[in-house]
Amino acid sequence: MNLVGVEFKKIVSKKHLWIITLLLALFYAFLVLNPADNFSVVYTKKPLEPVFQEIMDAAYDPQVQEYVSKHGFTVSFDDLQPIISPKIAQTIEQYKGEKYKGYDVEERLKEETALRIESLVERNVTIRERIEELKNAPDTPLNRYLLQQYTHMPKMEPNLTRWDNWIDINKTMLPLIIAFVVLLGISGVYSDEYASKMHGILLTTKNGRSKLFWNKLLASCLFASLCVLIFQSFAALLYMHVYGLPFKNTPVNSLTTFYMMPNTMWALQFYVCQLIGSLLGAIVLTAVTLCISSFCRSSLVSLFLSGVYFALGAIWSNTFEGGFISSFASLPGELSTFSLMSLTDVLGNAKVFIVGNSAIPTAKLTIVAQAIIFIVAIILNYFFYTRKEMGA
Amino acid sequence: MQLRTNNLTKNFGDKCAVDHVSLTFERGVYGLLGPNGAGKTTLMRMLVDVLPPSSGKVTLDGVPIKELGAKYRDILGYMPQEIGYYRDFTARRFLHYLSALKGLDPEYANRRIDELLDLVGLADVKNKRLGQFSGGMIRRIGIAQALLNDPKILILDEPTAGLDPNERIRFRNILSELSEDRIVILSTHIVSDVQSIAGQVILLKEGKVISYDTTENLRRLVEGKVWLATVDHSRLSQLKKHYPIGNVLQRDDHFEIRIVSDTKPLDDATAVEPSLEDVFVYVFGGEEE
Amino acid sequence: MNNKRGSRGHLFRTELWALVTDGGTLLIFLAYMVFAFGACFSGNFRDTWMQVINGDIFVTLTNLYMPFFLMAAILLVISPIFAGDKKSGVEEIGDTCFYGKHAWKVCKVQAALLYILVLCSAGYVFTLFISLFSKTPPNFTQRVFELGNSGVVMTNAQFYLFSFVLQYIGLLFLTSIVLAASSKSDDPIIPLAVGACLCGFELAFDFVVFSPILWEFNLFRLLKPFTILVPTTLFTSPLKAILAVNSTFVILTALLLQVTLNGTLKEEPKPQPDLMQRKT
Repeated sequence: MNLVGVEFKKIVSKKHLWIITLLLALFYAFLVLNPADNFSVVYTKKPLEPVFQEIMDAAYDPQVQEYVSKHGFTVSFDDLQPIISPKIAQTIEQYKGEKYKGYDVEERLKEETALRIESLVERNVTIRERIEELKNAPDTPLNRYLLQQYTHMPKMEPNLTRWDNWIDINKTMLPLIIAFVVLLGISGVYSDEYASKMHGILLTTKNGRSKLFWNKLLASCLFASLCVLIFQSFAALLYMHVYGLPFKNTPVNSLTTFYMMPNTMWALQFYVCQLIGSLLGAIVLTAVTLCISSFCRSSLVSLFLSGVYFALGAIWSNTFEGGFISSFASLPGELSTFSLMSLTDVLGNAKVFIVGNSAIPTAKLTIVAQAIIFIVAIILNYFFYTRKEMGA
Repeated sequence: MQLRTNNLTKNFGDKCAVDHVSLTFERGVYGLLGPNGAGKTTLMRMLVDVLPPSSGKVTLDGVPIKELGAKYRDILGYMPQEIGYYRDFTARRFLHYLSALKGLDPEYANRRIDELLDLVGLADVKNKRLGQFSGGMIRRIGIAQALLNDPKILILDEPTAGLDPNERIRFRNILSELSEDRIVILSTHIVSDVQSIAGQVILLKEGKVISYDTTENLRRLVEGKVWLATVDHSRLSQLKKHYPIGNVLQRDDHFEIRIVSDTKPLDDATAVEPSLEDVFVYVFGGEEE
Repeated sequence: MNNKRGSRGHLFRTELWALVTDGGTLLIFLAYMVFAFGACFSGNFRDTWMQVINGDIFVTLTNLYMPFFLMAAILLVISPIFAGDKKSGVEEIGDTCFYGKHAWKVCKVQAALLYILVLCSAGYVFTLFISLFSKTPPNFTQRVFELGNSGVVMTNAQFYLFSFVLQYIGLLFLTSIVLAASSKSDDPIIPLAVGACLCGFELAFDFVVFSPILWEFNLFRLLKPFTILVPTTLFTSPLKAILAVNSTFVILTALLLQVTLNGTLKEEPKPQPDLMQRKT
């Protein structure tokens, strides 16, 4: 008999687990689909996709840059129209007279275009000034890091893709949902054995200690991976339906979410990192939950304690989110399992932690910390389980 | 006082666990004997109204127990096979909790709990958490809680499982004293318990009542049919194929075995006085391959 | 032996005591005490972790943070109230007792409802006590924070009482959901998960206004009473909001309690001479 298969089946055969999963999936679908017919979702970006290159060229046109800078980075489309490609105006003109939910589509598209151009110009100007400042600034680890990042950033683009939304998938809600389902499935792996007094029999069988421990760990990790796969796929399908696939890759520095952050990644690369982080975080959470389950007699207590562990990390992370410098106060949140599952803050904001003369990317610290937590959790798990005393 | 079951039946899907059982209980001790899966626990659960029957009814003095409700439970003491308890409660606290459930006055309950803890030999661990109790101690707590409200109907499922011989004797004596003006129904695999105290024995097999008689009458069923013989190992294996074998005792290089058979199984076998265990083997089959 | 009858009140008090002395209650109350100490006496803690409402630490704690601790206590302590008995096997013994079945269930429900009141009161009393020694002790006669458009004018003392009542109603609703789930399941993890899901959903609808109805008729309107005093698109008058939201949750609570108590025979054990005495 395949022990891993049996252990996996024990986890997934709980009816209540799938009912709750379905409830959460429906809730998540409601959250995502609710704004599907909002003006900002239906319009503003998709109609401007055909003229993406023209808008980008306009933003990098020295004449346009000078004009926008002179007017304090606040311009209207009509002001810009004479100095930008006529194709942009022609594209927008197709929506003349069109109304959607009380909004004048043509006017809003014009506003959006002007906003994209002025925003891109402002960012470029600000980055150039920042680079100059950093070149003349004292030689500190942080300044070195920022100068390195800003000078090696990919060329910024107008934020006309939907990468902001796609990256948002793993910001808060989805990691919480995945974590909840994982906790619900895993919290009883050991404590249910204690409750049913099976541990007395298991610990006295040939494969009931080490082998069973590894099999339970593997089966639990498989379950966690399955949860991640299901929810990430589900989220991707929902977002594809609502926002569509981003029509091109774009640098992270172009996104509104990471305005002025020293991030040199591309959005697709970042999204893939989030997917990997989600999987690794779920596995670490699995290990921690197994550890807690192995010393709790009740799956209720095990679920509660594991939930507190994850929630504390999430709250801490959300309290100190933003910025690109990690401090001792913010580190516990940034190194948490939630942070690994999200990565929006530590990787998206390209956070660093200054140690001596080095600026260490916080994301790396997160991975190392979580790896240590994983190892410690499985060691303690093994110890708690194999030394479980058989009481009454 | 008369507790009756009228064509009591319980089906679980296709399986009939209790099949048209009609019994009458009056004062005294009744032993419910049967192999695993005979329907003993199911029958007991219906008697204490925690499992509704598929058909038939249980009546007390002609009134269905469902109608009596709390009045019936007021005179009932029940000890299940698997005793549920709260690990974090002390023995005393647990009995206090159950006494509140049984509707006992707190002052009376205090006295009663101390008496019962003495009776079952747990007075010195009354403030210990139940989570630290051994299996036998939990069973004794189970007995104590069943007796809290001084019940007139006492239904005990495997009450002596896990108790040492002294505790079993003590428990049997308690039951014998209590049975004077009570109905006591106990189900057990330990035939000697039933033999010692039960006035009537009910043999249950596959949900049906096979026999319902006194211990003496049941023993007479197998009088002249119980044989003691001495055999070697190879002979024993052969005999097992043909006869229900009761006790097997190893002595040096041979076995002393008890065979239940209508006819003399071996030339050198000698007839012996039957015990209730032999009745069990005769009715339900012993170690027969 | 004289078998004197104990009252149902005694069983009810026993159930209540079991809830109050549960390890979860004490643990969460301790956690809240530590949090409240930090909030009242550490400026650093306050600045880092909290969002103070109108400089009033008592209102901040009771309206923004204490509800989460109370919800955690409900989830941890109330979830096993029925399901735990089924899982441990105590239900089988309890249901054969005089006050078993329906009477027991009713006592547990009553004890749970009173337990919430005790918990809420203890939270308020402790918070009041500790905030009296803080740098911004509550001023009972001062008018409650300036809510320019609010049609409701009250003093701080009145607002504290108003908060208490609304939060109690909100917590009753959460308790009733957990009780209903616990009565229909045989594993305490299920009512805990159900309660946690409800809290999560309501929190999400509270943070992001997906629909005015979902935002308005939200558990957190009751748990954060200061938010119900602000006029919204659905209710221009806070008074209408208070009436509508409270009525809805009270009705839902009553329905859920009915669901919880359904399924057991309604027999009320009356104090009568027992069967044996009657026979003789």
